[in-house]
Amino acid sequence: MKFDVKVPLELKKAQTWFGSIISRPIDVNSNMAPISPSGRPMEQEACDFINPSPTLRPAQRVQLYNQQYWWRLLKTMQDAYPTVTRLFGYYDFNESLAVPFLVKYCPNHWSLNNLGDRFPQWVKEDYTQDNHELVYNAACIDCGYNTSFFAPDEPPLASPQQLEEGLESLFEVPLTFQKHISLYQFPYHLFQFRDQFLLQEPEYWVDNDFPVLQHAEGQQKYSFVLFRDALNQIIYKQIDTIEYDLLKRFENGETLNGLCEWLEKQVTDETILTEAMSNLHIWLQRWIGFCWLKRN
Amino acid sequence: MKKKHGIPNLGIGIGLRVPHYEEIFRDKPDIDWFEIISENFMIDGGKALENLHKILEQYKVVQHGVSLAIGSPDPLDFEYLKKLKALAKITKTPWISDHLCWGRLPGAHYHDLLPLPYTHEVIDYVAERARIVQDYLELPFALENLSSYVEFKQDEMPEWEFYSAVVEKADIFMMLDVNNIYVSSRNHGFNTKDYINNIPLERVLQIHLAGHTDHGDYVLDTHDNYVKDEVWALYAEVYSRTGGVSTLLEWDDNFLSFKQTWDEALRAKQFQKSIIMEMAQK
Repeated sequence: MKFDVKVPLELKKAQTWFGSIISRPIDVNSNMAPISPSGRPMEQEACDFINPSPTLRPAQRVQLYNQQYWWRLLKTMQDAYPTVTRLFGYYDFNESLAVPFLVKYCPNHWSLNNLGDRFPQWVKEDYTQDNHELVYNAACIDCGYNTSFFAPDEPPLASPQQLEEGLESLFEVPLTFQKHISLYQFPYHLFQFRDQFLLQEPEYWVDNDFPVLQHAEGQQKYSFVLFRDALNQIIYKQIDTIEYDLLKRFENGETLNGLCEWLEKQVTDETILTEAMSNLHIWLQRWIGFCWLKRN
Repeated sequence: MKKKHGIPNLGIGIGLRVPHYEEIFRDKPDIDWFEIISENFMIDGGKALENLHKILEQYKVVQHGVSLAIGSPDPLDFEYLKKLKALAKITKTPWISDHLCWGRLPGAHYHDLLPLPYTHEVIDYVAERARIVQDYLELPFALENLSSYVEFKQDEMPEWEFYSAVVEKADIFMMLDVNNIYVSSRNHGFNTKDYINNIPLERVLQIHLAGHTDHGDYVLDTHDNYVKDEVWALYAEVYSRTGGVSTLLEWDDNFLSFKQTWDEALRAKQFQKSIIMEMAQK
């Protein structure tokens, strides 16, 4: 549906100017940039569009909107990425991450829920400091919590009765995850770290040691699934590496038969294969019982 | 005063906000109604919607939006309106409101309630779009006056004249925020009486109350504090002249407990009672 009510040209001109001014980053003292995008002093250019108030000059009045724009977006980013915010503290989070991210990906959707959707991708591509990996992983799990909060629940794959009768009827059906599920694998227990981290406000961690980040032994990794349970609580669960590998197969759609075939090809160690095959039934019951899977 | 509408007076409500959920679900307080921010629930599923369904089991809910940005220069977003209408079917809201503002340009959404130039051309533009929105939603549609911090060089009239012309031309309603009238009067130097004496109060279907922050040279609409006495005084005057309409307290930051917030909202009841008694004595 499209209606085209003609836009008054003077209105569009004023709005285009106003939008270009208020979306430019403010400085560390929350001041507006003194020179406009056209190269003129803001104090001068604002007078072309805005009247003074009894107490404020036109540029000072526009600055209020410039500040509100940034404070609102930065607060939204801090709320959406609490772990990353704590890694940096408010100030550095804003300056090093949120502002450059929002300059590159300025909001263009009516919902603020989507504001930080591309933040992990931005960290991956544009943030190059030494702690890049930790920041990226933290961004991914913060993002996972947000996604899980808003994701719809699709109908369960099987009724309790079907579960009791057996899962044979589902073996050829392509399956994938519910949208509130996400999988993670890290060389450290980032979820436990996050739990501890979130007990204090970001400014606390500027002056205090971070919680201990427990590392896995040797080359091993911790595997996790993040999901929304039947009570709508978002929780994480540490899972076996083989269970992680198997679940990962569902990301792009997989049948249970296909999963078994893949498992047989992948696991060359007979002991591990036997253990995985014996656990598979339990895992399947859990995946379906927890409603993690849906038809693709 | 004869109202322009047969829309019910729901009594006194407060804005539904996450920090109050626990108290609301636990204590099931006896309040008249809640206002929700529509966009928070225009989603496909998840925990937020489940919370809304729990609220709807117990309370009347009215939808108030912040992202329509009706005066923006790009076409009306019918994907947005479709979701808004679908939510209205769930909430059974008796009306829908948003703001008399703009907030989008092609490729950008500013997530702010930005003021419009008050010109005749803009009245025609916004009124036509507001009429389309009300027709599409099939519900009474109201626009709220803003707290604003700038006035455009192009302005051809004061805000109240612009606001009145838009709602009358579109044949829609007013969601009158008396705190916003006060905040804008301070920022632009007009008299609040000039405002309320020159708008069609019979079109007001709801009143908003909120706190603000006074910075001396300017006043910000922050919704993080108690309603100031000057705003209560304005409320008392407007309320009596509307013949009694639904009243809502907005509180969006530096949250108090639910009970404290509700106590602040109930102050409106005291004004309403004294107005009714005054009218009866006359």
